[in-house]
Amino acid sequence: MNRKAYRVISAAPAEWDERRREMVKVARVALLMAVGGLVGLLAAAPSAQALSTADKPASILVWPKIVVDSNGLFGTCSAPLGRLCSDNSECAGDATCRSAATDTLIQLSNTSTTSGGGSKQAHCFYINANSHCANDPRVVCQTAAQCSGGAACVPGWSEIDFDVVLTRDQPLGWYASSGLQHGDFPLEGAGVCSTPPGRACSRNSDCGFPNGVCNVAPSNLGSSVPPVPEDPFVGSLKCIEFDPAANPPVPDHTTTRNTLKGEASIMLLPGSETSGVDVRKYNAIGLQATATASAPTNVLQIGNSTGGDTGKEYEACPSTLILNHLFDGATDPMSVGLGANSQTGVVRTDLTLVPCGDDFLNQIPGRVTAQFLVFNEFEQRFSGSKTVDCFLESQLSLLDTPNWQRSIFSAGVSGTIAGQTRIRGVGSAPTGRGLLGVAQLLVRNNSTQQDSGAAYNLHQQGDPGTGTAPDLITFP
Amino acid sequence: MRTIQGPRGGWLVGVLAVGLLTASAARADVATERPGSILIFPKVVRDGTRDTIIQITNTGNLVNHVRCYYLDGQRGRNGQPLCSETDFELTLTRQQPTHWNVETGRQVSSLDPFGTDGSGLDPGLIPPVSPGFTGALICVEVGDDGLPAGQNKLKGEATLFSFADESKYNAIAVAAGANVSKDNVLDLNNTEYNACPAMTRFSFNSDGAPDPVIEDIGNPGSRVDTVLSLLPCKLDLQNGIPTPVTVNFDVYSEFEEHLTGGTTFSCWTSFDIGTLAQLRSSADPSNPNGALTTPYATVKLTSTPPVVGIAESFYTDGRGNTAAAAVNLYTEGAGVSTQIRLSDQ
Repeated sequence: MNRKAYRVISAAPAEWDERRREMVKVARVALLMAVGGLVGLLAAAPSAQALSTADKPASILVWPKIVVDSNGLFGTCSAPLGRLCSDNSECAGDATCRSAATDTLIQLSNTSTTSGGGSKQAHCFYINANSHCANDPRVVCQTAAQCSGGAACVPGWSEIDFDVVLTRDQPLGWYASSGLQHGDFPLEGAGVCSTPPGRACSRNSDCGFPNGVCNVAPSNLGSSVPPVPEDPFVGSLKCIEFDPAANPPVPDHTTTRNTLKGEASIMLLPGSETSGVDVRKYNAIGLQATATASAPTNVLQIGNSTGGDTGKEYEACPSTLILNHLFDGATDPMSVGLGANSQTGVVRTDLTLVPCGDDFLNQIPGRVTAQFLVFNEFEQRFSGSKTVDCFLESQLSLLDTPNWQRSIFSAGVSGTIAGQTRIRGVGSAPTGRGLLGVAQLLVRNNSTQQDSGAAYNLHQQGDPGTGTAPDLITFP
Repeated sequence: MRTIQGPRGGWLVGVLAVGLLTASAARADVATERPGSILIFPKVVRDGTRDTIIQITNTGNLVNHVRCYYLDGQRGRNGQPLCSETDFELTLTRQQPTHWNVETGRQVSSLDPFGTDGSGLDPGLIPPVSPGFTGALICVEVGDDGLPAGQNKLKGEATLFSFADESKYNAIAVAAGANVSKDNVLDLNNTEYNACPAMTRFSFNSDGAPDPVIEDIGNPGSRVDTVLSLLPCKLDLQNGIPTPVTVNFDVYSEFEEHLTGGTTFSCWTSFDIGTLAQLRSSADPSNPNGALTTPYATVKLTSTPPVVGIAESFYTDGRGNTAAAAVNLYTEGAGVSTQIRLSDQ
């Protein structure tokens, strides 16, 4: 139409005509680019900031690492660095196996106010990632050396679930070893009748006929947190926010969603006179819910569907996790300080990764290949990969080789103290390719051979984008 | 002429759209798990018993220049924070991580042996902090000209350590919008940079209460204390003028009890929350009039101007051994606009 009008009004020579046509083409290209840019950015804008979070309330919370070892059965060798052990005989030469009684304090809070939805229900899953001896499934092991008769130590996976009802703004805390049973919750009080006033009740029929009303205040009734199923235990915890007002409760996609927050404190208690308690604390990782509630309600779609920006029930897990760390085996850079208190030590980093998706219904854990891209302070780059099958817990320098001194994560190989590792999940498992994790800095004191440490959350970058299969959590 | 105006108009619309949408896409508050253009380390210590390792990484594929400011929050003779600054510059190559101990800083030397502290591409001369330093570190992405530029590629961590004890937190990152102006005034207004949070929140063990697990292993007399470190998002690093801050606390116990309180400070603060009765356990044997009757509680902080911070819990067993664990605060919403005034070069 433009062309036709142009021709009608044109009285210019032929070359002008050609030139003007070119200019119109340029204009169209420019407009197309503008529109394309708009569309592209509109598509990118929301996803650019919509990823997992470790400092905002959310509707799915993931604690990647929960540890219980009440008797301090499992430890690590003083040499070789970080080797898992339960006895000195599993270590090299005169090296000792150092262990500590361990428990994890889990804190879960509802940030919802009365006007913001009030009570919320968390439907939680402990994921037991213990390995067991092939010849005796009752024996928890870390390595085959801990099984009798040379039996294999077989990785395992199982889950148990439970519910916690939180009133508005309520914080709760429990130790993973003991949980919270009926009687342990702070608000378990029965209701009170209007007629006769003061009578305890749980329903209207408990009160006076015909107009008695049982006023039940918000409480934790309906909650029970079991202890972790085994001791020792290593695994993770996932909690999904449910709307308790729905009958039956369903994953919360109401306007008052995204109100859960959590923390974990891993506490180690060596129990000796010289070594005190050691505490490692991190924030639970959150996945924020969208307003979309797709059927079926027991399949949670994390991120966009493969075909485009549809069906997203929860914000996507990031395409890349970023871990800043000190290379394993580096002389503790902290030992230069503290004057007379200074003691030398050796640092290493422990990484825990869990898949975003899990199939609790069919007891099929998420399986993701983690690709590692490692940069040292010379800007030199190394890479490696490792499969995350339900749960991965490893010293960095044991990810790519059993000999930590030959690892790309070893200070002797990298040549610098500090490093950056970018972790990308790939794979085609039905549960998805997303990864979440947490890291622990560990310092082994050269004189006491005791570890001390600190946990910290990983950074993240990049939306997986259109075309990437979403992560799925399926539950019974 | 219309045919010439057409493409100009098209490009203009395109550029405008890109600018507007990029700016709006960047709108959010601060983050502790993704890179940004301003990094804030709310707690940096060199006090003789504790020290700090700083780690900063350029997560981008372009060279990143950074201006950093130590803000000295230790108290002077008048009992108020010194609020003086020391600044220095870094240059990080693509994807480069770096680190230093605040006690020693970092020298520029090509002679550092392979695998030793200092090995690697030195990012620049980093001065040590003075003995007794307690305060914060603020780092800002700048361009070749030394003026602010927003790549949003910086991330960082701080490790606070004493003998056989470490605690670690992520630096708080503030993302830049599409148009960072070339001046030394950083507007945290959701346009030039994201605004600081309207509210921060953290859960804690009621201050001064014993820890049940430490008690259970037969080590009675334990206690848990939490120290909160806060830095206002309004800073005048050019003139060293301390910012007065008013903080309000909304505390909730596990019984859903709601307690309120407040405090004020200037420039920077780090204090034991047990000094406020609303955050102290009634089971604290050293100060029994605390208001919290449950072992755990949560607190919301609102302030004028907005603040960022970290919480650090100290677990002490019956033998007097103490372990620290730092944790980043949760944030909610965007607070009012503030400015960070950098010093002139």
